Amino acid sequence: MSMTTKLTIEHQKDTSIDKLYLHGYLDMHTAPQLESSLDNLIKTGRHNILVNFRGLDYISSAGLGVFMVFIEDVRLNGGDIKLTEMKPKIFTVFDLLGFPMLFDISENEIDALAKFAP
Amino acid sequence: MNFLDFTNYPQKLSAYLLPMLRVAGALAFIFRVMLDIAFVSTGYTDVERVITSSLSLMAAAIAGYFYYRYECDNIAEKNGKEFSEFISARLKSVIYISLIIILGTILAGMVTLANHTLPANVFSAIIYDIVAACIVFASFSLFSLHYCVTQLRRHPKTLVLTKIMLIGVGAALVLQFLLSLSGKPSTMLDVSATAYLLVVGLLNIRKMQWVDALTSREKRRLLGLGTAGCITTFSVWITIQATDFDIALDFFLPSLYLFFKISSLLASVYCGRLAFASLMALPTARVVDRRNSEVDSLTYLNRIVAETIDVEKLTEIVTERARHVCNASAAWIEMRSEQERIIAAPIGISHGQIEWLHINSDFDSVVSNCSESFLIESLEEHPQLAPLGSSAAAFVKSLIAIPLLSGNSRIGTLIVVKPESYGFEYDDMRLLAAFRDNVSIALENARLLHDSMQNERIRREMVVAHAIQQRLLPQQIPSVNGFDIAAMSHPAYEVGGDYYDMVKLCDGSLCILIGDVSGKGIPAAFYMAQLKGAVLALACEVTGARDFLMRINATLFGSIERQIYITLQCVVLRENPASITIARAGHMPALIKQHGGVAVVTPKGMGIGLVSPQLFNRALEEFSMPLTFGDACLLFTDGISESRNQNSDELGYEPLLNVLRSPAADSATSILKAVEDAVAHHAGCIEQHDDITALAIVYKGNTSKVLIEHDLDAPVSAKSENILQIAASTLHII
Repeated sequence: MSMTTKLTIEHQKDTSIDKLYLHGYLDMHTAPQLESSLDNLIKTGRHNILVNFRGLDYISSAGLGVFMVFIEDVRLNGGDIKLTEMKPKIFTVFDLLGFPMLFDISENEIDALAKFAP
Repeated sequence: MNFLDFTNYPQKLSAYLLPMLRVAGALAFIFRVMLDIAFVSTGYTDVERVITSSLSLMAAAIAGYFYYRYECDNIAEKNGKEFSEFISARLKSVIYISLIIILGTILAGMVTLANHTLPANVFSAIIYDIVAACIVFASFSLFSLHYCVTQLRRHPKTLVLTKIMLIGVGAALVLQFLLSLSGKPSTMLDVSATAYLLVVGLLNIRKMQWVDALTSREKRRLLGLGTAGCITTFSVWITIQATDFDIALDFFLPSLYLFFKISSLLASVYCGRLAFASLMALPTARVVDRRNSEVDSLTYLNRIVAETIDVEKLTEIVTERARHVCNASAAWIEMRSEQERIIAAPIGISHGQIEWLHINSDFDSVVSNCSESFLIESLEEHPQLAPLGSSAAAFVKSLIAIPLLSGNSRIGTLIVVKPESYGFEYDDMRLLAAFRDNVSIALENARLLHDSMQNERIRREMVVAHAIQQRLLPQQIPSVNGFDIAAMSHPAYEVGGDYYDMVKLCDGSLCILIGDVSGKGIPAAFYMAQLKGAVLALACEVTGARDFLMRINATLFGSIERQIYITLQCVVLRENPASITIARAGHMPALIKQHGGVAVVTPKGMGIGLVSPQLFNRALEEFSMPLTFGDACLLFTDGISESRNQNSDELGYEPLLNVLRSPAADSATSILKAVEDAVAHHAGCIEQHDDITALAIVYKGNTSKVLIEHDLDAPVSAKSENILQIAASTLHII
């Protein structure tokens, strides 16, 4: 199943915050896609990143790992990766792993945007 | 004439018969000469004449037979192309024999009496005999050779005609022999036998198609030898008619003159025909050469394809052949993998020179990316490649490029070059194109074979890896008083990241671990092995479930990649009083059955390897609960709860809770069986895509201490579905 499904990433750039909208499946096969998107942002000095899970239907352990790769670097640079609008099923996966203690997970985008340092 | 083939006779007979035949032939000839010496001064009576003639005939027939055998053996060793060499060698001997005969004729003519009678003295008689014997041998050998050759060509018509010819000539000879003995040889028979032989002989050699297929060198050789043979044999024919040689021959063997006349004429005609056929075939010789070379190369290539599995060797052979058939100065194959250009098997050119060609970016677009085979006759006149061709250092002036295809995809380009303009012809390109399909197939085959061998090697290694990983899991469930424990684990692929283990802690209690490394396959398996190592190293100093997970995280954090983490659940079972303690590091919840009611237990905790020990320890909670008879706990990995059906619905916890609720779930094994069934039922025909591991614990109580069991029963009065609240109240918050 995971072989045939896809991930699409939609990028919106605000003045200080980059928003990534995920759609589809985030698993072992599509994780590198998200990894390169995040990598590109951070390389260009963009450290305020909001990831919107509105369209994401599935996340696997490999998908979760992607966020761990960057969070430290981003925070060291004074930025953050904030997560928002997760479907309950997706949130459960994050929650089981204890991610809410690591990441700022908001219910909606407005709240999340407001939490970025001015 | 097959009875003549003594090679088919029993070996013994042949071994005695052949030497005896040789001796008989030699003796016949010696007797003949001795008789001549005895009778020549007195003349011969009719009876003496019959005797001497018979001896001559015998000696001649035996000599002819041995010659026939000799040629048969020769032919047996030859085949196909070498036929022309065989013919050439025979033509040479025909020419030599003819020259000897011409000399002998002159010599014999000198000693022949002027009045055309029998030899007058012993000396002339001996010369007669010897020269005539040579001629008999030569004539017989010509006929033997002709017959052998027809055997070799094996065209049925040729064989029939040859037999007709030999029978006709034989009949004429026998008739003439008899007439000669009676002293009245017939001139009519002479003429008609010669005419008959000429007609049949000419019919037999009217086509000579085999000459067409020879190489130009062979044709030129045949033309020379054929012409020389024709002239010398014809000279013999003329000479023996112009001299009194007939008397010398007929003295030795009546009618031999006729036989010799006929055979020399036939040889002359055959040689002439051969020379003519070679001459006619010469203009097409180059084309034939090319075709031969093409056929040879294709044959060779086909054989190589079947034998060679080594791509490198194959490409070397291909470029070598390509250069050879086109007479080119250099050849190489370019293959493309990703964005890299691979130069394979360059011959007659260095890598540096090829790279030099590629400096001109048009070379890539024109040559390496061509879709059809093409020929550039002159680089200097080519619109794009002119700078390359006219450069002072140019070592390439004309070029052929052949794309190599496999199916519809391009696998490379075969390029052959020459250092002069107009060096190639379109035929060269066609030839290479004919070559192309085989090369493509060969390369593709070699590549596929290589790949499949590689895959086979990996497959074997995976089988080994699977076995090793299976050994990392507990081979036996340790028995603990009062606890019934069972486990199952099925990786989705050969190896996986699921893990479970059972170790004794320092206080003697049993610790059960179940975990899942993020990701799948080989990387997950490596981290799982690392985890196993940590577990074994730490177990002896661990005091409890939470402690164990904290130590594991402290050990592994920093040593595993950032995006990799391990979810792990640690369950410690204690006796007297019986209790279960659960700590969870990001893993799936534990499902608990207590007093027939069920609950999902999710103490807080983050995955192992995600965060530093400080943060990890702060987040980790521990859940403890006393156990009574029949209580159970089900541990599992996400492969079970997230297994999907064809609508992509996940299994969830509810079916698993139902398994625990069922009264049939009274043993660990039956719980696992029911879980397996539930997963299989849910998945239907969907293939398993994640590792599946589950572990069940059922508390059967300590049967020897019934009282204590009762004691244990007392404090647990919680309502079955409210265990979570109980759980919360019994959490040890640190």
